Amino acid sequence: MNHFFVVILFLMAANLYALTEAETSAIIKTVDDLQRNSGDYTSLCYIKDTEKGKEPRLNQALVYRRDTDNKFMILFTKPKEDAGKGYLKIDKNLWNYEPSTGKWDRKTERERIGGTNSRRGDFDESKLSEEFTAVYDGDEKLGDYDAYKFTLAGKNGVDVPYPVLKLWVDKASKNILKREEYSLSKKLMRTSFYPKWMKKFSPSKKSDVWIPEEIRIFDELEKGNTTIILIKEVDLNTLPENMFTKAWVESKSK
Amino acid sequence: MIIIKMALRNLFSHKMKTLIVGTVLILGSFFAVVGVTFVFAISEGMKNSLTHSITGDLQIYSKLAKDKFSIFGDENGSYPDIDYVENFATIKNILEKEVSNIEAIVPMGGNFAMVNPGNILDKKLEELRQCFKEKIFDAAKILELKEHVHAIILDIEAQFFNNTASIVSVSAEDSAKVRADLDTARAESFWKDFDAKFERKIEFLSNKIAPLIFDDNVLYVSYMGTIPETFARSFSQFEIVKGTNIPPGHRGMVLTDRFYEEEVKHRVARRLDKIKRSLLEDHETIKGSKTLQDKITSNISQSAEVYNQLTPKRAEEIVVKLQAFLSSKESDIKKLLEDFLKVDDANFISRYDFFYSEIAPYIVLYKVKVGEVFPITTFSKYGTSHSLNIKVYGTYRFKSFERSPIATGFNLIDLMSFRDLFGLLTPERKKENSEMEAEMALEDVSISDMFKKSDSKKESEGASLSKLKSTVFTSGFKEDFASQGDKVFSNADLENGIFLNAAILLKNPAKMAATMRAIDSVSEKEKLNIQVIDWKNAAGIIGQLILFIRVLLFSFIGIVFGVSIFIIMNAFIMAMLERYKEIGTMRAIGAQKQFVLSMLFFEVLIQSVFFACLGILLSWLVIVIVGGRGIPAWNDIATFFFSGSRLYLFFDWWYAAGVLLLAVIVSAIAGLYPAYQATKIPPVSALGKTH
Repeated sequence: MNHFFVVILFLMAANLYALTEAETSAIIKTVDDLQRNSGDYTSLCYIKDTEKGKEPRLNQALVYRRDTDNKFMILFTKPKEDAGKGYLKIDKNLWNYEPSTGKWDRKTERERIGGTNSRRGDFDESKLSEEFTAVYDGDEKLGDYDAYKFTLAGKNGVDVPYPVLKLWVDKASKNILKREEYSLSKKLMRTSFYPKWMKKFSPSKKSDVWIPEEIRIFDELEKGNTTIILIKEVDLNTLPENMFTKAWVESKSK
Repeated sequence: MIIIKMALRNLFSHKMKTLIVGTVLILGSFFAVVGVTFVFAISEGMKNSLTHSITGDLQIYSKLAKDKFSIFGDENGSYPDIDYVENFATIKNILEKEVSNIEAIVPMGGNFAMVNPGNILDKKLEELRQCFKEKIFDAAKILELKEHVHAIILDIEAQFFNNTASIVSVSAEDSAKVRADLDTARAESFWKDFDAKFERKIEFLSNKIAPLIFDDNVLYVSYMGTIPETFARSFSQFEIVKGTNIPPGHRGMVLTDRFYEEEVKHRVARRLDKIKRSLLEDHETIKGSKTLQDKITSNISQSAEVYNQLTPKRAEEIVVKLQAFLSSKESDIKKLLEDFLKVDDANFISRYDFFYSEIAPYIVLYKVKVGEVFPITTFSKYGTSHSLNIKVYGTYRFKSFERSPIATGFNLIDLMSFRDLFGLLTPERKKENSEMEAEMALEDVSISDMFKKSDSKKESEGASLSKLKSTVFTSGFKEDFASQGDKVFSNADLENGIFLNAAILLKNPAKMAATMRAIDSVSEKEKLNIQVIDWKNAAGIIGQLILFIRVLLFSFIGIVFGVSIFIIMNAFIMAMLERYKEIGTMRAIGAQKQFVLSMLFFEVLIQSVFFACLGILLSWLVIVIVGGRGIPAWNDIATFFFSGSRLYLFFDWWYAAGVLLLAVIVSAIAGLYPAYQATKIPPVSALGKTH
């Protein structure tokens, strides 16, 4: 009988520390808010893509964002053969530009950026609370960090590369530490780790913006394939008005 | 002599037994000869199709290949991962010098590309943008394009809500947004200042309106990189159908004619072509064919793909012509076209001719036309995407089996473009990779060490970024593209580079096995690191079909003659029982066991030779009459196995001799047991039993 009461007390205690739906949503919103810039954004990125047993391939790119208008652009700068290639997102359209052909192609959110295992969303501002509904799964420890664990399901009608996510969020900073992405059939597709974050003062937000400095992505379908995104430098100053157009991207290589 | 006479007498006196055994032997010999002739003809047909079109007699590829090589691709249809061989010229020079039986070596390498021309609105908006951007202010052209775009927009709402929205779920909120965007695009005010604000207007239409059109225009192009002139010279089945081959040293493509007509062509037009072929060549009727009726239904439901491609001015002209042709007063082109495409056996040919003379010239009849340059994108096995603008110089076919889908996948591309699209890490790229790796300065951490707390959080600096931003804003990457021109490559350029596999054509294909051994030995000696396989293995599962068909045939022959043994044996035992008294009497008057055995042996021999010859004679008649005219290929795939539209059979006396020998052996086996039993009949018991 005594054991029974101990179990009941333990369950009550556990329930006491469980996050409510509102608290869960608030944390996910905080995760977004910390990364939200509300203005223009430029970053210098490197992408290192390694397929098992093969030599790695590296790219350098500039990522431009105008978060207020939901505009986004990646312009590859290195290596030489990829320089001038780009992605331009306007509204729900993700366009890919090939300077060698002068051709624009409409792509989906599942597009592998530059043929790597990265997706457009890895470079864009966080919109978890807009795109997903979160459920608190419990607490977990990741290395030295105490983390909340959540399961997120994509909202109806929102085009996301993976419909189900599991997130580990640092309790102290509210930054993401780990992210697992699942297909509709609940198959694990990618696991991403966010070991480094940097902060930058945003003139438009008038406070600090947190930016994942390094994302290490592990392909769960093709074991041994990895992608590392390194955001080397960030500039949050205003960009020219006419930048997020096809004409601007084309003008860089013609 | 007496034994032979007695054997003959026995055959005539036991007519039922002779008839049964004879029928079995005639049928067995007939089917064996015809079957062997048919299977070997198919086998030769396939060999001819493959070795004279794509595989050559032998194929060589890297010893480091991860996958088993098959020129038709693996079970997923993709080109197998066979690594690559460093330098074609080196391999070619050494093999041609060391192996005397080599006639020619053709370098190859396969992959597939995507061509995404976009939907009709994407296409027209891009044309319009180019007109403004390149400052080709051809007012008439711009006006025509604007009118065309406007006409397409007017038609989108019905299409989107009737077709697209029924396939993908659209929320009420999104539906309202779509309607609002369409209202904006249709409004007069939108078009009033179009020229002044063309960039913004076109981007609005590209991003808000064009995605509403269901787009399934993506073309997947399997291609084979090679030196086009060497390919054409080496493979006797190669024949240009439209345009020309890729000129020597130029970049370009030649598509297979079947691919061009069945994949690249406007889908309404190609359905009409197929209906015509079924009616005229296969003598089908629309009334009697569900398949043809389905094609007509599809054409009617996709008539938008015709009228959306017509400019408003052309549409008006075609309305007038259609009204006259159909004797109709209908003025709506959609309804007129739907009515026009409702073809039947009586009106098909006249409507087909009208379509090609009055409508086809004004629509995009081919997604890519011969003579045009089109952009292709491929994904290398390293995961990277590569794109090129490539000119289509013409179409070709493999002469004897041009209708076979098996031959569709080998669209040819020049070797230089193939190498560019293959995406091999060049020394320059490797150097750039090392530089970028140094700039990244990544720490090599394990997952468990990733989350150790440290004071690494920092404000980022911006020296490299501002420098790069400034470069991009001022000059961009124009220098990188300045050097790319339409260069003509020398033979040395083409041969001094990688290839994935190569076809080897032999002077004397009969010495294939010896040549393979010689190539292996040269590869070993010169450390070429290549392996060689014959055409059957190179053709993968298709090559193995020959073996499968042969096994089937020989199994069939085995079963036929196996059953024959029992039937013949049974007939002989019955005959022996009937002749119990006779054999007993012969034994009683002094006939030895040897005599009885010989008599029965000759009986079997005469019988088997005679009836097997009759069966062979019958098969000869059938092969000469039917096989001489040729067995028609019943479908497009059969043309590949027949190496043409008909399979011609040739009577081979060696096959006949083999079957005759087999019939004798089968009869001898079947007669063995009854003969043995006959020799055991004791004279006394035989007489006793009778009396």
